[in-house]
Amino acid sequence: MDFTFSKEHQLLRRAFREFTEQEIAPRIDEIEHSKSGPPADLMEKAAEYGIFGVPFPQKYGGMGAGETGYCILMEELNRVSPSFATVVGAHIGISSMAIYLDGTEEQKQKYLVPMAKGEKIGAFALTEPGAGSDAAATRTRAVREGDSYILDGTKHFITNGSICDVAVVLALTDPALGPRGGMTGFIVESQWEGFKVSKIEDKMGIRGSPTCEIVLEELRVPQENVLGPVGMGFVTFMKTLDVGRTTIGAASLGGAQYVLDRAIEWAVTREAFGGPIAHKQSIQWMIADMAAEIEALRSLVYRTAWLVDTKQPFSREAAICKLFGSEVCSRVTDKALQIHGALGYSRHMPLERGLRDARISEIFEGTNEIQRIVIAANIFQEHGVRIHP
Amino acid sequence: MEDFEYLQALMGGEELPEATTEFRDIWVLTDGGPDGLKVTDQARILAEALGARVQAVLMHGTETGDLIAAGADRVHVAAGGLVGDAEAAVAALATFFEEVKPEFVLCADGWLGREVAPRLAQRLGAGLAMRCLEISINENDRTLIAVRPVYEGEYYEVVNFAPHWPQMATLITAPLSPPYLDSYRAGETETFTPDRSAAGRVRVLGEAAPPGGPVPLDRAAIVVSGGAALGEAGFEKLDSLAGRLGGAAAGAREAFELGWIEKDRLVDITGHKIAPKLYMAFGIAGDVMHTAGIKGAKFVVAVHPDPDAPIFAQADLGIVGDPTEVIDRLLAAL
Amino acid sequence: MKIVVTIKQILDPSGFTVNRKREKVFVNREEYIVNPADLNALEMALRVKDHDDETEVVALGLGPPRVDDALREAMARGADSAVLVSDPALPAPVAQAQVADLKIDAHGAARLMAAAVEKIGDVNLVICGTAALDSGAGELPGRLAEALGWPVLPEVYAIDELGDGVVRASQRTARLEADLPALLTVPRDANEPRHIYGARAINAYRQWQVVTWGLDDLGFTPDDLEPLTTVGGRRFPPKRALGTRLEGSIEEAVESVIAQLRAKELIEG
Repeated sequence: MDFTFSKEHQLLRRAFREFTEQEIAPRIDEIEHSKSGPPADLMEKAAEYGIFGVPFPQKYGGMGAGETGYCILMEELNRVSPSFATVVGAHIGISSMAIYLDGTEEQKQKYLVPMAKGEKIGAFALTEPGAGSDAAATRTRAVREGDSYILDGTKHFITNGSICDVAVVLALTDPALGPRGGMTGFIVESQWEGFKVSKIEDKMGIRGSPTCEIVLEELRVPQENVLGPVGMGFVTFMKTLDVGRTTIGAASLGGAQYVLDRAIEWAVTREAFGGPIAHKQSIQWMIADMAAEIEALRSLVYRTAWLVDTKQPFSREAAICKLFGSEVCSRVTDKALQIHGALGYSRHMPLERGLRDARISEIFEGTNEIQRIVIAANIFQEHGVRIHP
Repeated sequence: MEDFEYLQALMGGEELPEATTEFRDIWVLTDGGPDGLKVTDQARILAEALGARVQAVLMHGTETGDLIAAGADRVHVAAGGLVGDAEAAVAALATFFEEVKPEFVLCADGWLGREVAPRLAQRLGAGLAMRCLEISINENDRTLIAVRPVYEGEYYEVVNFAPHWPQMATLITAPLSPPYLDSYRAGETETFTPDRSAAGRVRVLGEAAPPGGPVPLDRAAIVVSGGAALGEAGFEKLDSLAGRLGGAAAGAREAFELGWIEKDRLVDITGHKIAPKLYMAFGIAGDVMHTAGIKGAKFVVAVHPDPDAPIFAQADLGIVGDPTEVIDRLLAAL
Repeated sequence: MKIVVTIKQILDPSGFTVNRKREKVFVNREEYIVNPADLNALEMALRVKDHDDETEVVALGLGPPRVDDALREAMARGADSAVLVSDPALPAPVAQAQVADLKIDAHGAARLMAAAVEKIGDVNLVICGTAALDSGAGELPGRLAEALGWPVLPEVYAIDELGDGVVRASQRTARLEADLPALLTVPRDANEPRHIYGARAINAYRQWQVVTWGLDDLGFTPDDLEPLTTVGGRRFPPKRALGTRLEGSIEEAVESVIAQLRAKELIEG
């Protein structure tokens, strides 16, 4: 067992830290108040430094840093800007990842390469008004017409919907079969006729990432843009979410570590009753509990990343990363805010935003309830019992 | 006998061993300015302990009186001067010193100390301690001991010299007291013609366009900052002061909330946390949110009309008074 | 053009704290960084390369094997290749914040690095950070130039022209010219160094090599490098006396502030 990060991953972390602190941190307000995603010049700069292709092989325009490198990225991004992290996470972790996992070589060359280089931004269109956690209830239809499919339906809560160039879309090709053979993935370009952004959500947190409702109206998709085998879309989308889950744990780790650092800094600075509050046991216990949870999360996240990188089964661990990570981040942020007292509640400090931002991780990419089902199903399966959601 | 030892200790201990090599005397390089006099003064103190003479090389002008008064026994005037062109100065001094074989060579930190001394040391095969705060002589073997700041003065290191001469040091002269000038002191003056074979290796083409743009707050060595008691009008003056000092202007939270500064100039726990060498706070009361933002500052000067303002407890130097008046006086004096 | 940039690895100052009262340096995290001004030097070289594909930038470091990391970082930022001068006979310069007993001084370092520059061959320009953050001296660049026999353009903010056997460069106030080969020094505020490119960070470890030369390769023996100076201990500045107020009129107080700031070299003049 070796728990040290490789030299390249250590240097990579420094690269990301430098980028986030020098380029993103000074522009947090701008990002948070933007309705159209992070500023274009910041996105270009992120592309120049390879941020949009971290896990993908260099032959596809990526960095070749694997799941471990991608987790480091999400950890570092989420330290300073969960909004920016969400934009990047949706682009890499689910949109580009779906094409990487199940796309043809032609599709990878045409879409994955420019996406990994940050020249094209991706979205992942699964959720529908009637199908959130229950993805099998997807209603969007895809009807074969000659060499094309015609897509009709509504997708909502789609991160990057209004800024994407490419979206991967799950649609029903055979309603009779449903998720088992009746759903197919498609790669769609936002420039195509019939792709419309109908609404941008006004959210509690991650306000700098655009979350949209997308209406597909007689959208014609050529056959070569079918992602994976016809009828196997549900598998592609679930498999993609599996990979993405680990990185939500990583993002949560970054967010939690950041607020712990702020809390420690405040505890040694703020004086009350004749000395820094760091000398108060009530504060020490909170700091110790926060540190303990964060340390457990760090081990969990990077062990799971290692499972992914070494091609071992990771589905259960990824779900645990997402479940445990998101809850740790919320708990730790809440404690950090408490340590700051009224200052923590002030909008001048990043803690109230941290609390709002952290909350989404318990919901998106499969609610924590769904994660518990995934975990439980995995456990029971080991005992020969198949449970039904 | 005991009395004698006591007396000897009082007079500076045992005498140093005599020089056993062909290298002789403490040599001072000077451009004739006040820094050179301070170094000469230091050289004189060392020379008394060493039983050596102080020789100065005057590289600019011909005025030798003050150098002799400060302690030079002999001044060597470089005919035509030797300042400005480091290439020429290094070559000329190397030729000169190879001939006269100095035991020690000292000069002030500055152009001579930074552009000339390291190169001269390499030419002479000499050890060098740069930017020293203190120099003394090891009583056992007549070698130099130097104390110099590291990590921007976080702490000091002691530099020892191997018994190999010449030995060189450059001195930070700012903290040294003005030299003791003895106008009755006698000394000789000589003129030498420098070797100018290396002149013109580096040529000055003209003036450069000054690098533009404000200094980024996070990297500024000097930050001048304003608060509520400075008043909005004072912030323009603050900008002038920042420009004059080559630093950055900033403000505390009250100034930001009053709309006097943008957030990118805000110094406190919610904005920039900075660690400049010098932080000057004008009219900032200094609550814990502000002082948390300047915890890394190495030296803090605070000006506030309220003598009870908490900022004074965090300041190395405090002035109770009108911040605008202090800025005006600083601008007039600098 | 072939440009060598010298890279010094120093102990990260954010990893240690100095307790003046107890006269101790506490190393909380032993981490190393590239000397900040060396990144400005590297940036200056990379800007030449940005405009000229033929330009080759070589990072040159000296020290124990861990300096390898600093050189790979230089490659991750854009240097084409890297050379490390390291030898088991050359005891490690111990981190400045630890008990320092340097076994090689700037005199020896300059001679070794000059030999390395000559071995790299056909070098037109050496660019160094003006001073290292740890020593604060700026001793090496001048010594290295002398060991090479090259002219120095100090404190350069920008290279204006490079080619036809000359380099023209701007300092803060003057424009200078020297024949090539030459050595330039670059201060910390000269430019904004570019970041580490992620893919290059990966390649710097997985694909690229740092060439390591020992004393033999450069024609030296340990005896050649007997240091002329050694660091023999630490002293500590007095503890900061906070809360001092200046009495008297505002005029006198301002005069006193200026005098004290000048004496501490915090302001010029």
